[in-house]
Amino acid sequence: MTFQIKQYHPDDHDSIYDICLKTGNSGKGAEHMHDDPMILGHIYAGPYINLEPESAFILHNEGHPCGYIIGAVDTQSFFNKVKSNWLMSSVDSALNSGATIWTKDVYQKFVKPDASPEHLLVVGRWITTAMLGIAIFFAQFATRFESIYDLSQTILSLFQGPSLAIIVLGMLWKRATGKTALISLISGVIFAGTLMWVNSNASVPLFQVSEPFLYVAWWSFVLSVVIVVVVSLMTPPEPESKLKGLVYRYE
Amino acid sequence: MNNVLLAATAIADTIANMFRGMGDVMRGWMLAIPMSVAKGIFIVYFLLLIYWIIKLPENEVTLALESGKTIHLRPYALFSLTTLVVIYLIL
Repeated sequence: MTFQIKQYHPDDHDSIYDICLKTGNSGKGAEHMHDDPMILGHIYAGPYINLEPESAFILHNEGHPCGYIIGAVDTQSFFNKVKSNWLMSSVDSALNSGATIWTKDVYQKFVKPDASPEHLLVVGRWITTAMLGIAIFFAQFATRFESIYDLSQTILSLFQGPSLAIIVLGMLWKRATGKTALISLISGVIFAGTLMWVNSNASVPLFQVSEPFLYVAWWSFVLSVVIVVVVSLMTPPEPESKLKGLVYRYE
Repeated sequence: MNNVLLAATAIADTIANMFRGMGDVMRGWMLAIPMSVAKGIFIVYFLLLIYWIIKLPENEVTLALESGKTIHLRPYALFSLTTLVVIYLIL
């Protein structure tokens, strides 16, 4: 065996990712743990070999890569580079996938089914810009929360109550209708948002706990149930053929 | 800007006051329930679910896969619910 340490070269990129995967389970192979074989390398090795290649070295055994060592000369500057370059590429991917969903699954499906690819590309760009604007706008509110957990729970609580009401009644009650579900969902989310807003803006908070997301979810659930029941009874029922097999014990 | 904030607070207070009285009454009712009764209701709810799952017909608790394998869901559901009951009895 002849070992040799060499400076990292872009040709070693795939070898490093491969070694990262083969040692990614506390030194053992992690191939069985990840659907995407690149993911570990992308998270743990990619930032170093791409942003600080001068401090990355690879160990060769008789010409074959068998190990690597990576690091950062200045942690603070490296962190800034990761934040501005590496993480931005992830944000960019998230924006692209979000824009694709809205363009293909919403705009093309409901607004302009005969849209040309060029037109969809332009729409996708506008949606990306809009999503970025919305994200920037909501970032100011994110800083008001103590942790990302609080923020995610609060946002989820806007949708949890109405969604649960629709799912439960849709599964168990054959009289619930599709249009009612939509009305209930929109009303429930607006109501939950109003409760949140009132709670944080009133002189004395509406709820007597610091994180009232469960109360908000509960009351929006109650309202959504009432709306589904009342509006369903006021609208024509769905045809039997549409319900059979979907509603519990309705064969 | 201050006027906007004041108006927002006034609107929020108005809406909050609409709910506050009703909320206080309901809080009073809830607080009147002893903790042991509340815990009992919670556990009875899971026991009812267990009873319901035991009584479900076999065809509603089996899942036939395309490979021909059949998965029996009842034991998993019973295990999960029993675990919940045990946890809430201990806590």
